[in-house]
Amino acid sequence: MPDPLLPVIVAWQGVTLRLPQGWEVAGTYGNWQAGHLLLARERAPLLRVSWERRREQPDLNRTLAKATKRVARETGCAALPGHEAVGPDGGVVRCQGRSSEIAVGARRFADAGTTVVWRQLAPASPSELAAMVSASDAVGDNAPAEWRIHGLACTLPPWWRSEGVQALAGLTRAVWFRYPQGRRGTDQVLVLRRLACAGRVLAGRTLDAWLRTTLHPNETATAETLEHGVRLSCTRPAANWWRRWRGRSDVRQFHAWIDEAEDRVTVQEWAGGGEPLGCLRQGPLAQGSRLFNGRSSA
Amino acid sequence: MRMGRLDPTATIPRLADQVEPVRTESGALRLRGPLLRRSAFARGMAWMLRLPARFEIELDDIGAFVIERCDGRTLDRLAGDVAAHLRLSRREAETALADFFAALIQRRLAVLDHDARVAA
Repeated sequence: MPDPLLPVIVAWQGVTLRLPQGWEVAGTYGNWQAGHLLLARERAPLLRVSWERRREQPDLNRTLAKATKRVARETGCAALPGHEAVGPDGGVVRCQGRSSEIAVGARRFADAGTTVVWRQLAPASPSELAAMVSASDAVGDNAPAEWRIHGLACTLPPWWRSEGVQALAGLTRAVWFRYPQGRRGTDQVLVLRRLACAGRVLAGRTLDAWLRTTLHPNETATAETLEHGVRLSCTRPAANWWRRWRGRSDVRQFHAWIDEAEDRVTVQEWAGGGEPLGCLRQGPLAQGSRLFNGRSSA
Repeated sequence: MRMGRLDPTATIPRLADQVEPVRTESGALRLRGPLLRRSAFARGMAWMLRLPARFEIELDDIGAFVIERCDGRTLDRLAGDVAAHLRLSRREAETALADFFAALIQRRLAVLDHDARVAA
């Protein structure tokens, strides 16, 4: 059962977090293997969440000790003895400074081989941090992952890895590549764009007509109107002469839909070889609290 | 200009002195700045390079919406108005406004006043 005090869901690089109302992502750093998120509310940084995926089994006590040592070095807040257990695989440590107290939490997800560390950047309730630690989730390398950040929301099959997300005023754009079975080479790319002011962007054109303005001059497209929006399947002669000689072509597939309630238009652009991704639009139910694999978050 | 250091609740944007808002025949809003002060050498270079004697820009309807509301409102309140008008998130509206006013200030068309009462 999701915690009603943590209604905001942020899912990034295989780590799903639940956050209090009004919290948002202020910065993303790193990649699937290791990185961190900076979370803020009204321009005030509140929390730093970092993750690391390793083959060896992580040791929770060692992770907490390392995190508190870093906090002590950077803020002067010394860790109080012991830690509050959050489930069988998580814990929260309080760090006491001269005038403030912050908390550090950690949780290891043994199935996913992932360790996540939460570090408060401003004094706040340790119990709130414990609730966030308890409500989090992480997936392993070969599992489908939910992605939910800056208004983008989708669930991707395994081996899709994000190269980054860009959040500008009125535009959110994220790029993923697929590394099949963890190989070094990529075979497919996905770009999701979410634009504000859909009415102004389309300027009276249909989605199909608007999407066609973005095509290459030598690209041919067939459009289909679907229940959720429009699908545009595009082909053009391959950019590489070797592939052209072999009669291959470059394939792209667009899906676009309008979110009337928020006046946003979302464009999903897929390119590569093999079977194209289906439409990633999530229905109203999927925008809610259910995690992608049906597991409870607590 | 570093907008990040400003307190939006105590910062009031306004058009710079001698900046003239003009409505064109098509209904667009133009901001016409004062004649630029240049040294004799700079005037000569400007004449040779055919640089404009003043900054003058034409705003789209969103820019005009913001400028029409620069009547003593704070940046914070303006961001709320823009967010409601364009159905943006608060953060998006603040970012857009910061970029907009940074561009105007760079062209000497707008200034930011600091409201000491609010800051206190």
